[in-house]
Amino acid sequence: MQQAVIVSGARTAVGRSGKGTLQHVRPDDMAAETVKEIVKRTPGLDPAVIEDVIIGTAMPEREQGFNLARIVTLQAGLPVTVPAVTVNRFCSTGLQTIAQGAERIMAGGADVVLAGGVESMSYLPFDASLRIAPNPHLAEKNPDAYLSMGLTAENVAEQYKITREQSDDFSYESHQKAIVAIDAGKFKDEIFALKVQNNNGGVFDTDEGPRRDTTLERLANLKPVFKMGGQVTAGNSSQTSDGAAAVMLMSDSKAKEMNLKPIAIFKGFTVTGVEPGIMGIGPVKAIPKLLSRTKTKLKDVKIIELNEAFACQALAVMKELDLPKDKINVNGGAVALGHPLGCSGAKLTLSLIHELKRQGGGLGIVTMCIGGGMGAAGLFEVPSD
Amino acid sequence: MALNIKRAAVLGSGTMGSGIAAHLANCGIETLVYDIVPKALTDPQQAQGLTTESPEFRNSIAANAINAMKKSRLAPLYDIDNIELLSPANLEDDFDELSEVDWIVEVVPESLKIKQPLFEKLEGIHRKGQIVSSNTSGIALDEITKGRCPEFCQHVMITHFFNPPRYMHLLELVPGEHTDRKIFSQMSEFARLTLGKGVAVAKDTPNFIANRVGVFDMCIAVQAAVKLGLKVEDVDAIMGKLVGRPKSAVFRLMDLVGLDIAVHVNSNLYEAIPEDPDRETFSDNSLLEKMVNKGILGEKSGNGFYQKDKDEKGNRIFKAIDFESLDYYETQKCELKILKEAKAQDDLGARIRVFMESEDKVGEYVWTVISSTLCYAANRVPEISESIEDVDNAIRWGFNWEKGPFELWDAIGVPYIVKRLKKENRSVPPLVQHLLDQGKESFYCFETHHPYVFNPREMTHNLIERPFAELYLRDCHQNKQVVKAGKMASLVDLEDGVLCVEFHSRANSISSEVISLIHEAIDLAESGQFRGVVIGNQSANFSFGADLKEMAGAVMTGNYQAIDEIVNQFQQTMLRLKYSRVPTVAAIHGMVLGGACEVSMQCDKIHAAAETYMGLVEIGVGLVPAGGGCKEWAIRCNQWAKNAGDASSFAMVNKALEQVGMAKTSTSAFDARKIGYLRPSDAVTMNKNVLLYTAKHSVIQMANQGYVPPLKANDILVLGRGGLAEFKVRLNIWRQGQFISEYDEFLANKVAYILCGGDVMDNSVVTEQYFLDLEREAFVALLKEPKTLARIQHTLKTGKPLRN
Repeated sequence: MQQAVIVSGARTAVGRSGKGTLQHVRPDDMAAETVKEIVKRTPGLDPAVIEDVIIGTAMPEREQGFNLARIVTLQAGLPVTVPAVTVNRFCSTGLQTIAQGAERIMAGGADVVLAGGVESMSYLPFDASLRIAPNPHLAEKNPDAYLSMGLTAENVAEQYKITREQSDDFSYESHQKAIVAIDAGKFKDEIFALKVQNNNGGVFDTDEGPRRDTTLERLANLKPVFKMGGQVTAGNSSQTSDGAAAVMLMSDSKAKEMNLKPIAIFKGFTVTGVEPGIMGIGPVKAIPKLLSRTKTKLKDVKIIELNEAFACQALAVMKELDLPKDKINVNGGAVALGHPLGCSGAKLTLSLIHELKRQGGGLGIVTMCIGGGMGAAGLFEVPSD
Repeated sequence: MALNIKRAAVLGSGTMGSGIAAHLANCGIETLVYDIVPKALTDPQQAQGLTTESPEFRNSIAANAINAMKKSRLAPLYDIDNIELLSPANLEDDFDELSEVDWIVEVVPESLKIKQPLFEKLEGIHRKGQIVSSNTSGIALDEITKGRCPEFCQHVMITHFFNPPRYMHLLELVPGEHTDRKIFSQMSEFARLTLGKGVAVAKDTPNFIANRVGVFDMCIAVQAAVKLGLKVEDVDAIMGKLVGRPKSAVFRLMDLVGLDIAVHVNSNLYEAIPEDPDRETFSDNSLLEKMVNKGILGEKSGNGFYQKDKDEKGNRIFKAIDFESLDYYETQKCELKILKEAKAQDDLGARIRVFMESEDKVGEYVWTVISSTLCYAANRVPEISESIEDVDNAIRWGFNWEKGPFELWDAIGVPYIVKRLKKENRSVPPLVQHLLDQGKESFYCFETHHPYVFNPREMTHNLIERPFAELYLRDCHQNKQVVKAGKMASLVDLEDGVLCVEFHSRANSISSEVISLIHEAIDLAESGQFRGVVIGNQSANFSFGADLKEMAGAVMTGNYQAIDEIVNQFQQTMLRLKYSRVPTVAAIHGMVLGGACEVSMQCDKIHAAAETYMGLVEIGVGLVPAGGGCKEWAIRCNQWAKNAGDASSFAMVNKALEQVGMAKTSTSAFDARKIGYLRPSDAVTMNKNVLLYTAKHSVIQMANQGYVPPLKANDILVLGRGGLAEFKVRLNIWRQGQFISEYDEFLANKVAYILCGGDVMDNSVVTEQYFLDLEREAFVALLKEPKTLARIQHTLKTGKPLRN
């Protein structure tokens, strides 16, 4: 069996939805620019050899519809011979596309695949205006299948006894870690400068989610959004965001042939289901399954990017799996940096790879919970130099 | 004609200033809000990088006042969007701009030292035709304008608003010696029609009308309670609604006003009226002063005559003060037998007499307070006002009494009061003696089709000329224009071919009698006796909705067939309101709930007073709107979607469900228009006293235009099962988020079911009658639910909704 490797990748900086820099940038444009950038970052690549482009989004409709991936390849100027498919697994979409591409390569079905995700929550907000057109029979039988994500977080907090204070502390730390990482330029390599109309010389290259003025007191003063007397606030939930991210996958033989040095090796991917009403707990099932399938020990994993859909959900996962705090989201998470749904998996993969590289290589996991009641996890290895 | 005021400026952005500014914005007037430049930058301002030169800093006092309007508990704005009409300014940099506005209202602190120089400066920038007014509540206008030229003074007057300006109907207008009569009367018309205020013309005497008489009354009421050793909560139980005053009665009102303010007002007034033979009443503030010295200031200090507290179990309890020790004790529900006896009387005068005749402390108290106040008022005209009517209006509108002092003389009985005054060797006010000397026994009377009132200068009864566009049902009653008198409603001939259905039961509830009268009114009109029908009344509220008692009666006997028939009758009558051959207009104001909301929604046109709180709140009593309310929403949603070119009315139906499913009401007529209870073709009338007139003329206009009834709505596109599933999911989320109870969810699902057209394919087409059948079915089925019955019982008993 072939090994699937990542030879290059890039992402946009993450914008705040509805008010941030990317609010008027169409998702297909964002993704097309990302695709162009990755082709540029893969020296010697003739785009015609790309055998498939797998791009996902959590809302494949309107500006993200009409087989978004195909629209993106055409907009990016890839040859018409390069095919494209759109994938949706809600919040794990960006990881799902990478896994799908890698597994095709491993199965011998392709040698070069571009995979990633994009989301503009400015264009397609995930809020009360959204019509979800539920199945009438399922709505009757199991309305929780359509429960709001915030309420699933409240359920997790209640069931796993996470307090408001713990959530707020966690959120505060997320901001602090993210600010330190941004100031240290840790995301510089993975982000490419997107041309936009702004006051920063027409270039968008810095994540704009983290709040430098946040304090524990401010966080504590926010009102619960989803439940009367609940604990989930705007401050301890992931931010709604806009962004795109993708990677270039190759078989190791193709990479060798092209003289490209892999930045990471894909080691495996699992996804599992849980009760929809406590979807946030998904990683608790996905991570052990991943470790067992890849015959890896948790202690051998250097760092984990655990998507912070909600602080309480991340805390519940850490508590259940007894995950060491210092390995989780060392550069902050989605509470601070934002969660552009379909993009997040690919974005977190890039951040994981670059952090592992800084730490001299090793194993890392990207994991997240998924709306509707699922959890996904992917294992990557960054070769030591 | 009324003045045309397009732009105004309010000088001072304190409680009154910002309240007045907000109300001007309510009336669509662009307003500059002025205050002084603050002394120093605040920390956040410094952090923002502002300097003492930045306009943001210099205007910040007024800007903060404008901003605070969004959060005020008692919303000062009809529609929050009107805040855009307000701009902050400061008295140093922007003074010259004042010459550009049509009206300047001064609301600076009550000190001549501030007001006099300000008016001097205003004279400097004054433009001819521009109105300048002061909102002073105690300082004489002649003092404020001392030294100003007559030309300027022609344009100056007092416009005294009551707090909160949006909600209090009274505006006292006081001309000065030089005020131009024509300008004054144009301003008065502007205040009445555009600002929607009740205008009482007062003379430039201390505290004008309402506060002169009202403050006297409060002094007497407190002093007599102390003297007689009555308990705080007993006094308030007696002196509230039962004697025609607001629930805040005596001591709760004092707590709201603030005891320090009360002492201040009383002693100021005392100083200002050396000639007043009753002035000593204002000087005895011993109890109030004792309390203020202990830091007891009323609501603002958290303790006054009352104090909120919690018992050992954490339940909220009320405590009241003991006049002697100033200690607080837990209040008891007032169990005086006399309350029941009084309650049995429908007539206010008779009720007050029941109290007065009680041979105990209560009797003595009520007699002392009310007779003293009535005598005081009678002794103060024409000194404070040329018009007895203005005095009554001022007290009614400024203190929310049911009747003013002279109306009370009439209601209790002039000879009755005089007899007892004489018996007690108290003097009878000369004005009252004059009245009796002329062989008359009341200040108001109705003769040869017209109302008359006693004139305190000429000492004769003069014709009352109602202000233009004010039409009163009580005049129609007096003038025998009642076509048919019922127990809960009557048909009143408004003349010019317009018939009014007037509700007049306790909550103006809609019973089968009321329904059949509506039927009859339409019959009469269709038979050619009238051009059309107005549904309107002049009680405090339009109507609280369907008569639950009648419904509960039928449920008791288990006669669901009868309920089905009652509801069907209601529905068919509503269809007649909509489709009859004659125009129908609803004139609504105040509370317009449930069935009353349905009545108005199905009239051809609504005329709503600005203060209109309408909504389909049936869920509160465990029911769904079944008089065509859901049906109207569904039809409107369908129409809006069609007009907007949307394929689906989902967003609209979602909005409808949020309203009906959460039993929401509008916060004003303008809000009702935003929600969709009022259509663009419906009208808002700023002054509730003009409402009936505008509604009547709407009928005449529609009839003259050649009234064409609307076409029957038989092709209503509904969302069907797909939409219903979506709402089911949303309601589940609301319930899990604990925003609604489980039973609320159940009920809201019923509403969603009706709005979506029931269990039909997506995008089915249905008829109006089909909706009505869905409504009726759901309604009758709910009356079999124990939780619905519990809600109804609770509301009948307490007047409040139960969320079980």
